[in-house]
Amino acid sequence: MNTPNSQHDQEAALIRRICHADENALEQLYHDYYPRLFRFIGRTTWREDLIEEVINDVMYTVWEKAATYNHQCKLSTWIFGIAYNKVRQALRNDGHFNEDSLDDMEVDNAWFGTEDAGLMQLETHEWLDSILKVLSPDQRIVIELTYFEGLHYNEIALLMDCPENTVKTRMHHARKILAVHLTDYKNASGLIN
Amino acid sequence: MKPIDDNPAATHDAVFMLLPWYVNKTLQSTELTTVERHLNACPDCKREFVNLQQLSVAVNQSSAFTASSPASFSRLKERLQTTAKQPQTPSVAPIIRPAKWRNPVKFGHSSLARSTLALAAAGMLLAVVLSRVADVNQIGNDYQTLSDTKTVTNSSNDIRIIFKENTSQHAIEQILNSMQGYIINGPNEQSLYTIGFKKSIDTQHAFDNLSLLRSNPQVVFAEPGHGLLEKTQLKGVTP
Repeated sequence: MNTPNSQHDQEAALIRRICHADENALEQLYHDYYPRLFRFIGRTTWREDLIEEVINDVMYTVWEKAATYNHQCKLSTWIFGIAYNKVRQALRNDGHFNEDSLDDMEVDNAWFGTEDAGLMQLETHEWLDSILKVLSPDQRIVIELTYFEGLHYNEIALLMDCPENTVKTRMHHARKILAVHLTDYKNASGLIN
Repeated sequence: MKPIDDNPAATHDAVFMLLPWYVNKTLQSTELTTVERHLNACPDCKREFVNLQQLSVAVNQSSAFTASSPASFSRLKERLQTTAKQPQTPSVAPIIRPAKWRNPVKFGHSSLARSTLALAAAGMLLAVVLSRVADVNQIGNDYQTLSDTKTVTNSSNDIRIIFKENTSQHAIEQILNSMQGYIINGPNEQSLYTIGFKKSIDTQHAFDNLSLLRSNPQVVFAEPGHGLLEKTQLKGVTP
């Protein structure tokens, strides 16, 4: 198993090779990050048809901009930052990303829909997948980066290019929405008497 | 990191906001201590902490959008081949000081330990001074020291630098561009360049750039110029 330092060194070596136009290094980085990017983009956009295209866009940007990576943050933070921008771009192109609602809890329920009717039969993580669709893309991103990628809020702020308080606020709103739906779910499942 | 307010209500709100990052174990120092202390006394936050732990487990258990097919590099490779990439100079990694350096090292108080330390420090200081003198002699008369009486005509944030022999002009430009630097003079007969930085680069930033240059494998020599050293004396900036 790689220690954080050896992983950091290996990734730094890959970036140096990519700077020198080494396609094998890009291929290795692509395979290393594919599962994480697949999940991140999938769970952010909830659009399977976009995933491959966005991953390729992200890794193409890594190829083109490798020399600009300045080692001030983890390589994964830099790559997920690129992925975040590509996701925004892809959703904006599809008309599903409303810039006005980035910092508040406005949710386009007409697009995301709600699936309360089926909640009773769902396991907890399935319930969660269902409810995550109700959150805005930015709220889902903060949830995913916090709980799955294990990032500190200041890393998420760096990645999303926003103030740290914005990250905390997005998480706070997401938590409130999840709490309301969790109560509904428990009531519907008979978990609360 | 901002200190958390002493007001109990403000502390509760701040801790409540921080709980997700307490759950993912990324909080450090002051915030971590504050959250732990508050959790021991606040049933609401404790309950929310349990909820968030469950949420974290659920997020990690979810199999939605788990990559089921192997990664296909072929489409990206086709795209790469439509545009030929020119080799680029990687950005220089910043100097990362080991965390243990941040805490003062505690030594014993014996007179032997203190005198050994004093001797070691004196030896290191002598070595640094001698190496500087040797460097200056190698470079020749074009390198000014604080004791020189020549008139300074360069930028105030100037740095004297020698690159490795095989470093291309393009590579030099890329290194300098990455730190908003530019060539003022050079190279002279000793391959010495004098470089300056854009106005937005202050003295401390210039010294940060100096550290980056010293750690760059393409750089064999980098020292502050007369103007930068003079500003150091005036402002007390640490090189």
